[in-house]
Amino acid sequence: MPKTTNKGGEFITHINPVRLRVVGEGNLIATLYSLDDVDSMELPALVMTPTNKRFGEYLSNFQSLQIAIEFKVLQKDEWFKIHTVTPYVKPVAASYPR
Amino acid sequence: MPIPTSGNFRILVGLVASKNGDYQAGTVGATCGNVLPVMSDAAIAAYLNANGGGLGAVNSRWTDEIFCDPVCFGIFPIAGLHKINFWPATDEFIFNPGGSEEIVDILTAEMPNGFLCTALQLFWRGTARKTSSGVDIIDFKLSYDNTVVHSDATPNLNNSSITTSSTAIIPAGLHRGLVSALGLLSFEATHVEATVVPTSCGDFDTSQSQFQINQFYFQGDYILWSSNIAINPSTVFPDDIVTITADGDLDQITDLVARYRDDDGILSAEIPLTMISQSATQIVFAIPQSAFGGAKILISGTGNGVEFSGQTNLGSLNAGLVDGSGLYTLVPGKRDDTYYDRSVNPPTTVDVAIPTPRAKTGYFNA
Repeated sequence: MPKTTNKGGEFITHINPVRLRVVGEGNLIATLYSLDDVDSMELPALVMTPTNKRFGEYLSNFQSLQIAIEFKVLQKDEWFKIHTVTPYVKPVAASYPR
Repeated sequence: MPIPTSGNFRILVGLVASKNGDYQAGTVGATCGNVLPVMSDAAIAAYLNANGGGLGAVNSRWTDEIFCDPVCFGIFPIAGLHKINFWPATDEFIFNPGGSEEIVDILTAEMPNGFLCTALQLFWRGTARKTSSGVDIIDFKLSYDNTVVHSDATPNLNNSSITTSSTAIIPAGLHRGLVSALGLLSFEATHVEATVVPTSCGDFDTSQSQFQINQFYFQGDYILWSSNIAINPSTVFPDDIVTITADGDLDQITDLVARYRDDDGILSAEIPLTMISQSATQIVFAIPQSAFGGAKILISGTGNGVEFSGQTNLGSLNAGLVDGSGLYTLVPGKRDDTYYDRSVNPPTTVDVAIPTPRAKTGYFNA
């Protein structure tokens, strides 16, 4: 296990939970993307409510050198408001096999 | 206007004396194609009291003041706003055609401002009498500036009295006074000449023969004279308030519609407009978003079918915003887009989803 000094994102990163403070209506679709969106993983939809005493949370299993998360709704009249996104990540490798 | 031979129509009775002394118009139902019955004053008063509301007395001249309602006129022009009206010309003339032509001036009556006469007819009713035997025929001639425009001859008056009536259509070329004297149904020479001459030689003398004209009246169609109508403002944006002003009779308009011509030159369907206020001299309305489909917006009004029939152009507006659909108007709390469908009349709207609202984080790693 490499030490997580993280200088410039050299480590391959594994992401598991994504916790977020979100309110809205409808299903919030979250998708994880690798660099340049070459790889992606759509996560199970999160059902939103206009008020919520809990954070929403996605579970995932995705690795990439760097990761981006996209949130969207697909249906008419759906809406969302995200205040905080907390991804739980850890480095898993220094490089890909050569 | 010709008398209809088929269909349904109503008889309009004008200049009916009301209880309060004013003259009002009323209607009497009838079936088209029937010979118009000569009802008594009492009968028409009773009908109007029962159906027209509050008309207590009837002028004795009512029988000459009936005309066909254009509502039921299948042959009535659909373009242009028309008003069928009559303007009594005079009460009575007595001709004694004893060898020379009698000439009378037919006085004309006032016509509302803001309208231009497009057709004019002169109606007359008279009685020819002859108290001696022999063949005599009286010829009634209507002339203008020494040009006979109409002629009617009575049957043989052999010691008899004949009531006769006829209609003369005054040629459009003789409406010369109308344009320069808007609001006054007058003629350039201030009169129309009606002459009565005997058509046979012999024993026609004033003591034995007489032609008495009991009524003259004019009936005409006219259109709103566009230069007397103002529409403001000239350039409009959606939901702007528009005002049409005229000298009068705008209260006869029941329906107001807008049309636009699209980029392909196709005239749109009628877009109904809602009048905010209406009076004889002014109409106020708001121009809706759906009317903005071309550079020009045409405003038309439809007559109420009693005095007016058909549709006439009331003016045009310059669209300050052409085809507003596709441009966003921010509405607080609105979560969808609204598309306008102008292919149907009236235009409808469809709410559709805003294309995928999304948010994406930056790239991160451990």
